Amino acid sequence: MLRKFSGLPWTAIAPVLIFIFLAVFGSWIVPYDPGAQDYSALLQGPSSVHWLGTDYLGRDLFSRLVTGARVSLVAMAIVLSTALLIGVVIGSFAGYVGGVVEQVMISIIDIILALPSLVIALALIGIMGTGYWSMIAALTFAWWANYARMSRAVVATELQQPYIEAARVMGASHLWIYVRHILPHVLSLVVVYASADAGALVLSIATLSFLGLGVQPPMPEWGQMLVDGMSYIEEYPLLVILPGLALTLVVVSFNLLGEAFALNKVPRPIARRLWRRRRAERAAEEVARDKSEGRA
Amino acid sequence: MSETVYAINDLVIDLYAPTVSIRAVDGVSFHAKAGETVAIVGESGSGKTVTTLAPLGLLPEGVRVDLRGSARVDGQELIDMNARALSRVRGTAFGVVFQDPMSALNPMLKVGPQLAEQARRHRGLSAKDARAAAISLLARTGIPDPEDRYNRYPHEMSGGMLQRVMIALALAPQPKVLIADEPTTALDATVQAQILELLRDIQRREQITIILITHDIGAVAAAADRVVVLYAGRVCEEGSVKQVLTEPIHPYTQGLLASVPDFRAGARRAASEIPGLPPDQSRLAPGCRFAERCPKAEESCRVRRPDLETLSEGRKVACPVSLRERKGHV
Amino acid sequence: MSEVSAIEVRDLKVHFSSGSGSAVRAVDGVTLSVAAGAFHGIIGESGCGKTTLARSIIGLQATTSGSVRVVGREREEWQKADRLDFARTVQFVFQDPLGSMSRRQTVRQTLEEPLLIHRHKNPERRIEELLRLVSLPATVLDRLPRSLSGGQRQRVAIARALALEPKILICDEPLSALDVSIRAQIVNLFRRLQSELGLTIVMVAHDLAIIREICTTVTVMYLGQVVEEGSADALFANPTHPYTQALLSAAPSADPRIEEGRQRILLAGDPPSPLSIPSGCRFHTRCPIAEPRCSTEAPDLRQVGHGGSARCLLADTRHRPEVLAQ
Repeated sequence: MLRKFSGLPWTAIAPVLIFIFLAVFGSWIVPYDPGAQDYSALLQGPSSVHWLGTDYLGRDLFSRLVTGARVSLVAMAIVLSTALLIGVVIGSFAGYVGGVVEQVMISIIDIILALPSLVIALALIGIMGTGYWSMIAALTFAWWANYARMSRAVVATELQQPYIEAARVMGASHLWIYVRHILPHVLSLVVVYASADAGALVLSIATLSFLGLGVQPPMPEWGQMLVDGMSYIEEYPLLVILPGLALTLVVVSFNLLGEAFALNKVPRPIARRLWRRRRAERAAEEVARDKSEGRA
Repeated sequence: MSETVYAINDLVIDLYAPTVSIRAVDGVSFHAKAGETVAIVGESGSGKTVTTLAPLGLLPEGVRVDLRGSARVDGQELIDMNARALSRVRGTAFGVVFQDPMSALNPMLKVGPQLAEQARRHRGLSAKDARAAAISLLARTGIPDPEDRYNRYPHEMSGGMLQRVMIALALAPQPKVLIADEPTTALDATVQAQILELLRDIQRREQITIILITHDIGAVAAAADRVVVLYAGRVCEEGSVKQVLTEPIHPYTQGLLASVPDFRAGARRAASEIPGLPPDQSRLAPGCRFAERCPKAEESCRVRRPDLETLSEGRKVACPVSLRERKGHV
Repeated sequence: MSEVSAIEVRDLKVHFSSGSGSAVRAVDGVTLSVAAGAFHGIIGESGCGKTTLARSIIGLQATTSGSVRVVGREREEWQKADRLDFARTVQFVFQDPLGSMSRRQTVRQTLEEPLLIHRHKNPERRIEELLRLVSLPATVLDRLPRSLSGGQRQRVAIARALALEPKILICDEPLSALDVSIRAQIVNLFRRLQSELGLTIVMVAHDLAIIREICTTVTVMYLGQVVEEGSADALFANPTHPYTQALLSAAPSADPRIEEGRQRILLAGDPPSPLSIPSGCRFHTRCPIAEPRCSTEAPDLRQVGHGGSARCLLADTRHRPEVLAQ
């Protein structure tokens, strides 16, 4: 696992790491309660008292930003882990069982995937009403299908491999085979995807909150802070710039993280040279080894 | 006295990939005359495929090759030829049959037109003549009902028949040399026998030179006139099939023949083995490559590379220890 | 002499339905029995059903009808009732050693797996024993299968199959993917294992010379049926069925003097596909000595001169058809 981390673009993914750090330790380092209003210090610029200034209610922007990070991360983690769990379980089940069950599951997954996730989430929120948990549930429902699709594909492919038959011959139960042989393949694929997906999820949460359908005030959240600050955009753009910049950095950074992981598997323009190198090496070895294996 | 059609002299081939470099062929020489079948025998890492295919530019993509020495066909030197000239020579002087019959055929096209295309391109025939030539080729390779088979797709044919089509394809440009790389390994036993018989037949009729690359000693005995035994990129023994197979001198040849169970040599005897594994070709020691597995190895074997000495016309052995033994006995 | 045979197959049929309604009769009524301690070879060409047969015996292939009894017990029922117990009795060696092992697992993990599944008390010690059995050094334990040679991989596969101390080992072409001189090593390994461990071994192969080397009993298959069977020595000395004779004739000798002088049987055409099985005797379309009745009458297995049986209208205990004499 450690080998995967060598060669990661650390500068590019620093925002993610800062994001996570802030989210975890945020509550200990924020100087102010993010909800604390101070009418004597409205819309102030950055100063030694308020590092990033205050908003239209006198709330410390730095504290709000950091706490917002935590809110986003927690929400994202809940949705992602639940969607992963549901997706992997359903997808693996479909792939393993095969037959009609698999076909039905694939159809359901395809239908969900055909619609943009945000649209699905919006529809569900429309039914369930707004609120934090409503948002979580809606996003989870929109998100699991992709992981199910991936898991099913991996399971279906690996099941055809001869070494799975070998395991059956040894007396291995289906559960054993799944956990020991197939799950690692599923996880390695899914983790790579999820790391980039996290960014999209953070963005979706921000979008819903921006629309007033996600995280509700007084809980700070970047999307929500964005919509709040819109009215002051001319006099005091910092209210909009700060959360916007934070969002952009974090989302882009997550994408780069995901791509960095994927470099191990999928050739990208930079990695194409690496890949060609390895292929040439293998070809040379094969040629020298005179692959004369009969296939009668 | 038939003349030499294909001659390889002191061929040295290095394969380069960014982290590993392998000397796949280390000074191999042999000649093939018109109308004879020369078998190149060896196992993994012997260099038998590289030796024959590299001079023709047929190695897989991405492998950087350094070719030294000489490979002449009909007087023309192949090493140092540019790609276009090489491609032309390859098309006209050589025909190649690979192990996997599907590798040379386009699965989307019918078989006949592919053959005709070959004939037309390298012999400049008209479309009508090319078709006739293709059908005649199919017939000559023993395919029943060639007119009908002309219009078939590759997937409609069995392995044995496809291999015949491959041979027909290789013969289309009327080459001087037919190279067959493990032509029977992927086939069933009875079909193998048919294909070997076909090769023998073609050779007799058309006086073509055949280079047979194989690890199957039985195929050598059945279809070849002369044999060159390779080990780790070097020639260890060479001679007529009769000489080498009935009286092998080099310890590797002896070991190889002893380890191959002969179906007719009588009932159960323990197959003797050659202990150990072929050497790692990216890290080679000086001296004889076979020394570490050789029952007769002496100190000098590990230090000095054995020369390929000529015993008699066409009979060569690269093992001073064995040759010394022989002289002692005579 | 009522010993329970190690494997007893009765009228086994494995049919696959191909899309267009016709069935591929891969195994079509095979009856054979393998005695305990025997080294049984199953030979035949592609499409004859030998691999399907082997896989049916171990349970990797569902059967259409017929029975497979292992050490007297019905295989299907046994596997359903106690999968682990069956796995401790019969094991399998695959044709492709690399494919039969997980590419992400080291040799140690590969060998450990059966021991863990069966909760072996002392897996490390057993692994050491196994390496010794197959003559592999301890250094292979931490390597991945792709960094091993073909011969080493097959040894690991064999070691894994032996981990649970099975009584019966079924091997599907275990030598085809190996270099010629390495085959000798593995053949000797099999021989040694059989004598040391008292195994019953069933080997599916197409290399006749090797079968002749080590097998005690042989079954010859063609297009889903047994066409000849018997003790190896007797059968190879007096091959009765014309297909067996052709098969034996197709194996070239390494001795060019023998090779040059001998007469060969060359069969016309290729093995027909199991989708379109000829009428009467299945071999009649390629048989050099087929008579008119061979295309209408399907022969049964009957006793022949060498003590075993053959499926040929022209053969019985007194008459042996000789293809080359015609």
